[in-house]
Amino acid sequence: MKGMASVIATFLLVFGLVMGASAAGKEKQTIRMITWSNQPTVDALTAFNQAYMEKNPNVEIKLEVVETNQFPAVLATRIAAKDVDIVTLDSSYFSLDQVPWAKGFKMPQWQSQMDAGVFADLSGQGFVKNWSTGARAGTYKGKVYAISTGANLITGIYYNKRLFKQYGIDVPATWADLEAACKKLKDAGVAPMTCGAKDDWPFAMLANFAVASVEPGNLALAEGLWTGARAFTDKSSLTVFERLSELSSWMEDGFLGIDYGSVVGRFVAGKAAMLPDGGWQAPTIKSADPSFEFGYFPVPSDKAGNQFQGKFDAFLAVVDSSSVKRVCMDWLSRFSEKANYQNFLDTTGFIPTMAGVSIRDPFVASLVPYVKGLTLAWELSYRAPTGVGKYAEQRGFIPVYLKEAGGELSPQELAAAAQKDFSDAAAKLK
Amino acid sequence: MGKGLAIAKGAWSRSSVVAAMTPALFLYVAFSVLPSLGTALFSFTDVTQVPGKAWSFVGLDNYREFLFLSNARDARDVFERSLVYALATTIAQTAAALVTALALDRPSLRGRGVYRTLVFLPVVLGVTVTGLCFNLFFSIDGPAAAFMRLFHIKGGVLSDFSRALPTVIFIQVWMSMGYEMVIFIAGLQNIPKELYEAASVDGAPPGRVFARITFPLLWPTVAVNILVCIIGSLSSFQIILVTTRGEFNTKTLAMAVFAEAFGVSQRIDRLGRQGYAAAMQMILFLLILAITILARALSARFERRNS
Repeated sequence: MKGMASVIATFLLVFGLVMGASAAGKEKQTIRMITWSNQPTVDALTAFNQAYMEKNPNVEIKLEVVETNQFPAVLATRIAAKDVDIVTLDSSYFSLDQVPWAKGFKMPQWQSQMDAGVFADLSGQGFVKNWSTGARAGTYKGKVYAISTGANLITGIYYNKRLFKQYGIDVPATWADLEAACKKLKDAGVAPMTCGAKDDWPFAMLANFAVASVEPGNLALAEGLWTGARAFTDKSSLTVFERLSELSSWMEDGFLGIDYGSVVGRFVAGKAAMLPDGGWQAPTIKSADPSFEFGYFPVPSDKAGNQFQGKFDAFLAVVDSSSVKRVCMDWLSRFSEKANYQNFLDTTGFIPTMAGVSIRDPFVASLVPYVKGLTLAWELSYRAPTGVGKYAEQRGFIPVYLKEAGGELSPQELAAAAQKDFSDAAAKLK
Repeated sequence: MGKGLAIAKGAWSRSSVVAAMTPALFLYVAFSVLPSLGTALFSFTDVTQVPGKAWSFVGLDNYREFLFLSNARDARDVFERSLVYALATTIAQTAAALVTALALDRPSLRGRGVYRTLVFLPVVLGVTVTGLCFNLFFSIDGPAAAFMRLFHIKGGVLSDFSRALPTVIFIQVWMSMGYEMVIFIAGLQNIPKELYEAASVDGAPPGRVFARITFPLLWPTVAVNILVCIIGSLSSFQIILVTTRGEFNTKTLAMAVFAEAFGVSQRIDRLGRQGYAAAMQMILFLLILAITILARALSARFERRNS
């Protein structure tokens, strides 16, 4: 009797352990992801997540999409609350973390996060070697913390082919050509350009355009502002402000009230002939109206033969404190496989950051001649001193204060104000 | 009778009162006092939003940075704008609420319950709904833009440097006026009707009735409303956040604190320097405290003169 009882007890114990282990093995693991509201990227990630979940039924992936201009604040909150596992980052000048000429500059959030070990070190992961520029761009202080899923051109202008043909306008090759084209359109009652300025960053981004049209080698300008070799008020910088003023004057009436989400609809509807924007917008324009014929040219400068400038974009990083880090690494590993990355590229229209993948999108393929090694845009070079005033914040050349944009300052006055703010702040740091 | 009185007295014994107040006191201490003390403490640190980043006590460095190292022009603009916002909102909101309360307190007005509800409705809507509605209303394709085009008026409203702040003030007043109106109506209903009857018998005109009877007796309510409005407008940022995010000359000190703490504006570094933001908040607190003390002193002086 005693022997029988002990056998039964042992059987029950083993049975319970086995069932418990099975239950644990089948326990669903959830990956929480967050990205901003670029629809092609969202579509691409959603498609990949769906395929991944089908192959891994015990994994659930929740992708949260946040409006672009709220993304930095929401991202920081999610990370602080340990409520996210895989994040998308847009900061892409990791390789420029060493800026000895900018002592006391305003450290961006991503840098503080990386210094604090928020993101997992991916350096030892096997999938990193799949990437070429994608991993290099995500390297900070010698370690890979994020993978860039693609490069994007920033300083390009979309144009409505039908309107250009209707008014006999050729694709501008120089700044003078662009001035002539905009004058022709204005005289015909057509708004030359539009912009989602209500969200601020699409309009502020025009600083990249203006600098690219005057000084393609922008790192020297950024350093010169700190060393005193350059100033916002010198002849070349003043030209940048003047071009910003011109760009503002070419915008459609009330553009400061247009949000970024509706700017593609307005462009496709013919409310403006051109849209200065990044390469990431192309798939959205195509899906808004597949029959709409558009082109994309780099912002011209005084000489023909211009190049686009851009940045590495849409970095993927794993939060180091994630409770499902192992699963996240597996997700990233699958994402880094050529076939999966190819599908991602086909949907987003990014320029590849992995060797050996094809550019199947005809639009992206048409831009390749303009991209001979990606030149980083101005916003990645500029460093603002801590405590700097509003006229020299962020990208330094801020168009919204110009009279042509509804502000109160002329280009000369804004240049002087920006220089004063920069100098005052830099002096306090010495 | 004696037993009933004894029971009634026992129901209001000191321990009963304390016991009844304890839950509310606990909530007040937990969600108001302690966070405020926390803010004061954090204002002396360099804590940021970045988890895992070591932080330390930095003494008065945050205060020094805001008052001396940051751009003096921008700091002065923010202070001035905060005062303008508070003053304009307080005057407009109180005046509008008082006029509306007087109009809707007349016994002869039919359907006054409906009108009061309609005026109070914006209070219930909340900041997000109100802000989104006005964003749509003032958008480039909205009714306001269409109306402006009829008169060949160019530019936006919430995206215009000269129009944005007055518009935000209007939205704030529209949103909060109903709350003050309700308080004024309660105050008006406490004024003895016999005084109005006596004035009517004496043939006093409405203006004199208001100046000599209504306003003096309503003054304590007016004073409370003004004070609440000043404190509220100096410390609120929500409607600014939803409508303009502090752009186009609408950034008040409260909005600047929020933007600094959570990096919401693209214009500033997205760092979430919460220790620095806490220092800004303490400076805002001192500003509100100074204005509150001044307002109470002026109010007491006015009451003494009236009595």
